[in-house]
Formats: sequence, C-alpha cells, structure tokens
Amino acid sequence: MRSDGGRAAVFAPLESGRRADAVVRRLADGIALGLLVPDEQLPSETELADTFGVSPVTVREALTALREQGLVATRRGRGGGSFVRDARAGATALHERLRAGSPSELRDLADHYVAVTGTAALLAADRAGEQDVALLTAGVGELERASDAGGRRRAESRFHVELAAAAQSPRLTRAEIALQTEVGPLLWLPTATPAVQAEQVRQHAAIVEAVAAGDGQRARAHAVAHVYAALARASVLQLGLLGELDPDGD
Amino acid sequence: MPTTSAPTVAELADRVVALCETTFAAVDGLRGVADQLLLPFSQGASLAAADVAPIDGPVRQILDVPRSPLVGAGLVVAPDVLVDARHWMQWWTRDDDGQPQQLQPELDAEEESFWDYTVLPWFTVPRETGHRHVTGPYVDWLCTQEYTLTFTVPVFGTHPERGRCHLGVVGADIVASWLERRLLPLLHRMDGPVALVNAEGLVVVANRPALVTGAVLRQADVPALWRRGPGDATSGGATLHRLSDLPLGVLVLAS
Repeated sequence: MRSDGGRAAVFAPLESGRRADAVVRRLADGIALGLLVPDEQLPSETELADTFGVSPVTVREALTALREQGLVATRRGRGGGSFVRDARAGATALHERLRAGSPSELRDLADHYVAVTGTAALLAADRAGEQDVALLTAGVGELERASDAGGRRRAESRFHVELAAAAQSPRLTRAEIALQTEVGPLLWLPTATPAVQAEQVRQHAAIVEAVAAGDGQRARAHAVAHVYAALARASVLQLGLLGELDPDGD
Repeated sequence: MPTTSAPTVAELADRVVALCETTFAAVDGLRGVADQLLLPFSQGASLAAADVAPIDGPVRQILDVPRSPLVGAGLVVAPDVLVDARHWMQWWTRDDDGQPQQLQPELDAEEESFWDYTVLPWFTVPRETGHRHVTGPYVDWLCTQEYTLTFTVPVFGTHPERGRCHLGVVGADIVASWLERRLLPLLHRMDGPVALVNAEGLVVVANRPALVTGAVLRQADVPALWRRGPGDATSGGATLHRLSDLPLGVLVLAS
C-alpha cells in the first residue's frame, strides 16, 4: 500500500537554505524509503522546480549530484528523463559504510534511532486510529512478502515511518524519514537470512499488536528491542570488517 | 590467510600505551611552551591573557598535521593566575574542513552561560594528582561534540609569595572512534571476550557486540578491581590488567 501523504512530503516546497542540497536530500530520502521506487520516472526538471519552489538550475544541480551518488539515471530522447536506481541495497555499499565507522558511532546512531522510534511507538499506542493500525498491519504483511533485500529494507523503513505517522507527530515523522537514509541499510541488513526476516516480521507484529491494544510501554519496549537486535547483527558484521583493517591506516 | 597466534593481553596493552603516548608526546610539547610562557609567574611578575596567547602557534601546528588524530588542543589556565582574566584558555579545535578554530567559551563567571571548567575531570584530576590523565570516553558537548578522550598534563609553578601553585593544564582531544579503529584489528584476533575499559568500568572498545562502547561493563566490578592497585586483579573469572601510568585497563572475561 502506498500512502500519498508520504509522497506529498517528498515533493513539498522547500523553505530556504542550501537548496540543491535540500533537493538531493529530499529525493535521496524518498528513494531510501521506497516512496520513490526503482525504475520510477521522476517529474520533469520544470515540474520539480515548480513543486520544490526552486530554479531549474538548482534542480539540474541536484539531479547531477544524485546521478553521481548512483541514485538516479538519466535517459535521453523520447521517453527519456530521470529514473530512480536502486543502488543502495547492495551489500558492498553497506560494508563500505560499516568499515568507515566505528562501534561507538554505530551504537550512537542506533541510540538516536531508538529515541525516535521508541517514542513513536509509545505515542502511537495512545493515538493511532483504526486506519493507522490497518496501515501498520498491512506493513507487516509487506515485509513478510518481500522477496529481495531491497524490498525488505523498503518495507522495514516504510513500517517505521508509518509508526511515527501513527504517533500523529510531524516532527517525529520527519526525524524518522531523515534517519532512514542512514539507518536503513545499516540496521536492516541486505544480507539478512529468512530466519532473520521471520524474526523481524514477528517483532513488527508485536509492536502493532501492542499499539492496537493501546499499551504504549509494551509497544515502546518491543520497538526498542527490535532496533537493538538489528544493531547487534550489524555490530557482528562491523567487528569482523574492522578486525581486518590495517591498524595504522585511517 | 596465514594463521598467526592470537595476540596476548600484553601486546594489546603495548598497543594502547603506544597510541596514548603518541598523543601525550604532542601534549608534552605544548607543556614545554606553556612552562616558558608561564615562567614570569614564578618570578613574581604579573601575567596577562595576552602573555599566554603565543601558545596558539604551536597548538595550531600540532592540529595541522595531516592524518593527525588530534581534534582539539590547547592551554587551560587555572583561576587567578592571569591578572586580567580570572578564568582563561587558549583552546583550538579542528572544524569540518580540518582548519583550526579557536574555541570561544563564556569564561566570565558573572554570566549565566559561564563554562566552569574548574570542576571537570580533565582539569581537576591532573591538578589533584600532579600527574597526566586520560578523561573519557565522554561526550564533549562544548568542544568536539563527539565521543571524545581528553589527554591532559598539569602545569605547576612556584610563586615567590604564594608558593607552589597549579597554573593550569595543557591537553589534546581525540575522538573515540580513532582509538576503536586502531585497536579492533588486534582485539578481533584475541580469543574470548576482551575489553579496554577506563577506571570506572566504561568500555572504550571490545571484541564482542554485547560489550558496547560507552556502556558500563556489568560482567565485572571494574572500580573494585581497580582499587586493588597497580598490576593484575582477578575476581569471578574476570581479570583486570591495569596499564601502568594510564587510567585504562584491559579486562579479560571468561568465555
């Protein structure tokens, strides 16, 4: 199920600041979240300039940056335009990121993420309407059916954003979206085994069950355990990667 | 991959000491400069903030070394040493582009946002012990805003009237990740769970995901082991190997 609210947030006008960077960030977040799906055609440069409220030059700059990051591809000629690529699901990019960091940085990212996701779960239990619960339940099914790494990661990310939306907090939802680009590939590993996927589905179901029951503390506890379980898996991988580093290198 | 025997605790300890000594070597260089700049105090002359400003050159120099692990360094002066500033520091950090920037904290005690550094461990411990100290890891919210270790060395002088005085500290900051990344290649090859801990039992880096950097280790009472004094201390299957001359130790846990 696709929530149009989420897509609208991706294309909402920008306020100020370093505009090209902001456009890059918005679109990159949308891709990381799966709100923009692989092979989807982006609106034309003119349309993007209009919706973001920036100049076409700014949009062109942003698209160049996204191409360099491997997130979009531009095709020329009839039926051409900018298309979403699914480059970040790869295990290589994940390994590079884990190798570039340290255990304390990974732990800190998970802590930050737990602060947002745990509170979202706590509040969602108090505030989620029937429709929110239905969306979350559908999200659990989406993760269960996901057949490849990219699909699993997108389903994971979407679930967490829906959870924050169910907390009725635009700020928590924006924080959740902003963290997905960074957290998604690290905490929901593309290398996950079917057993891990099944475990994650169970954890999601437990969160939804507690939210539906209006039990905030239990929803929060399940969400926190869910994130730290993912952290533990990423940590094992990272310790192995950092263990192979040249100890005198950077 | 060639099979090599697992590193020993002694090898890990040596590596930690070597990395710390690299940082202290830079700090010791600054102490030499600080001693010179503060010498007039011991001769009974009055010193002003401008008189210690020349330490900026050497501070910027040690921060400007390519691939330097140092993210901050400087001189922090004890209260009532300078005639025109009760509290004072010449402290520099490296910004995101690697350029040294001078830290401008509020040092007027009358101001609400006064930053009272005289109660912080990196200042008080070297003052009390007369000895160098490693503080952390901790979140240095004022300076680096990163997970940081601060290396400080005290500076003393002898005033003609006031006698032996603590004049301040010189120091340098490194981010915890620098140390983690340099120790994990050794730690990873060690058998069984091993952690580098500080005297409070906070994990600096370990070879098990369950031993989380920055968490107080619960599998052993490190502060109690620490209080037994220098050398090795064992309790309930955990052995703490204190590093000589540093407030850090290698903790070996039962598998």
